[in-house]
Amino acid sequence: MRRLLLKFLRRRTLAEDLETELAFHREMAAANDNPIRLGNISAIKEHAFDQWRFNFLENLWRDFAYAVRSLFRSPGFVLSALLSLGLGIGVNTAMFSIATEFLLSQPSVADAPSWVSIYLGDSNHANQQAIDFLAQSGVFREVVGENWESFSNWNDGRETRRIFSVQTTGNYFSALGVPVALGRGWTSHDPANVVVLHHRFWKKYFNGDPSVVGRLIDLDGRAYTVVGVLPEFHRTLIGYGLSPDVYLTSYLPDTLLEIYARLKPGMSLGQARAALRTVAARLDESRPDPYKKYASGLRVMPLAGFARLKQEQAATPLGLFFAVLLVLVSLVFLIACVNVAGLLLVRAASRRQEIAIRLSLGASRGRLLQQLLTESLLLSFLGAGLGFSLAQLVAKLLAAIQLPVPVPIRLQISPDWRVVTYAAVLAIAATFVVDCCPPGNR
Amino acid sequence: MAKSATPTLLQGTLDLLILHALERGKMHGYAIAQCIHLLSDEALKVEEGSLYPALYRLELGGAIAAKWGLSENNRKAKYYEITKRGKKLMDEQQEIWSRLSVAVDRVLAR
Repeated sequence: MRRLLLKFLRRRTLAEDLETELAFHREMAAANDNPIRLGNISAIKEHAFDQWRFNFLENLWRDFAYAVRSLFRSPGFVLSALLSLGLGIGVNTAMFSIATEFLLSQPSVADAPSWVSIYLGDSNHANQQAIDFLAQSGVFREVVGENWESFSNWNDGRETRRIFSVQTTGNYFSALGVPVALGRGWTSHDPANVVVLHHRFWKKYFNGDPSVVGRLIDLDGRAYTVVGVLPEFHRTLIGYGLSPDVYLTSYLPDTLLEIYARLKPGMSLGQARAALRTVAARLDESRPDPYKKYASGLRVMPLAGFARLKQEQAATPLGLFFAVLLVLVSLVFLIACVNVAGLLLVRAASRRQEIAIRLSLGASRGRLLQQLLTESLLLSFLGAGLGFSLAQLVAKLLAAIQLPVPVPIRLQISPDWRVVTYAAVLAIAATFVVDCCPPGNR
Repeated sequence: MAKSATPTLLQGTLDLLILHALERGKMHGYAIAQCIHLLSDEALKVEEGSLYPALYRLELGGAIAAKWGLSENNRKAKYYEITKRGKKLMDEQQEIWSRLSVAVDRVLAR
């Protein structure tokens, strides 16, 4: 603390002080007939000052300013290096953002970590009766159901299209807290013939017209009232980029729905499982199903993030698939780095003079290295910036490719902290790879 | 490089010598160098290149305090003074040094 204060107070007069002191010293030496060893005055000053300065920061700032200037002097080199780094980092980041979105996306609900997927009788599907029974048992805060395996025929007045719809229980929006961009989600008091549109569907067929709320649309020959439109970045409970066209709350009485429940605060997965066992046993007693036993094959699985992925059966092959892709793009990244290292080598030849001058002026090897590292770091971060923008574009393009599957899959690629961190880590990695790989040794 | 007759200072011993010199009272940089030179029977020569960085380092560490004053020939000079913390540091360093020199002597005596 004292040091810091002293450093601050003495910053200004430091150079002057030392100058006077050294002059006095030499004068005294001359007066006393003492031979003065010819020292490198600027090196002495530097050494004396080093103690007193906010060395690291000040040096960093100066190196940074110098790096900017020196990069401006060679636009050709900078352009080709940036292009190379941008491409390497961009492709890599794009793949990373697709992988994280696909594997680790959080559903658009109010409190994703508190939601679990429930398996009764070895299946995560049950009929309305069983879901109601679960809800009334009071074990969970909320229980909702949704059915993904459904299509509706939408007649827009001219032609009929088959659209992908999700049927859900009446408490779906209120219990999950699914954000709605326009209008509202339905509540249990709404009639069954209401519909919430997906943002993409609304944009595509209604041109993003906000007056669509309240309008009637024809689904399967019946009139449904549009009550709301989902936001652009709506992520479904199921994840994996699955995105339906519309949400409905009407279904046939014996439709099987996927069961989701919200844990009470502080309830662990184990406690939930134990409570579920009792409820399922009672369910077997009061409403026996001839085809299955509810109280067998019980599971309570987290719905979001890593916790879900760990319990997912498909996690290993999916994870491997993305791992292989990431390794591939990492190779591209390495090639980009080696490329830039080569460019730097050519540049180093022309900078030999500058480095020799700096060394003879008393710069230490460490300082020189720091200077060069700052330059590469600046280059890498510029490259990462370019790559990041490129990644957004590439990822969106890739995500827009319609896979040949019966359900629409649309990954919601949006830059989040994970992707930004990843790009930054890549930039730092690029700096060290570029500076330390053999052609970069200058 | 030609072999020099004057021994060079071991790393770290300069701090001890400066502190020791300053125990005799406050003095400026040149006087410190002279003091060490004379006390060593002209065997040691402290150059400004190592003296001033050491002084600045000690001052920052709080072992010595500096004040501007007038020299014997009426010139503006920076006077250094040992502090309490400096005295403690000196005792520690002296202890370390005597242990080291005894040990080295012992090795060389065999």
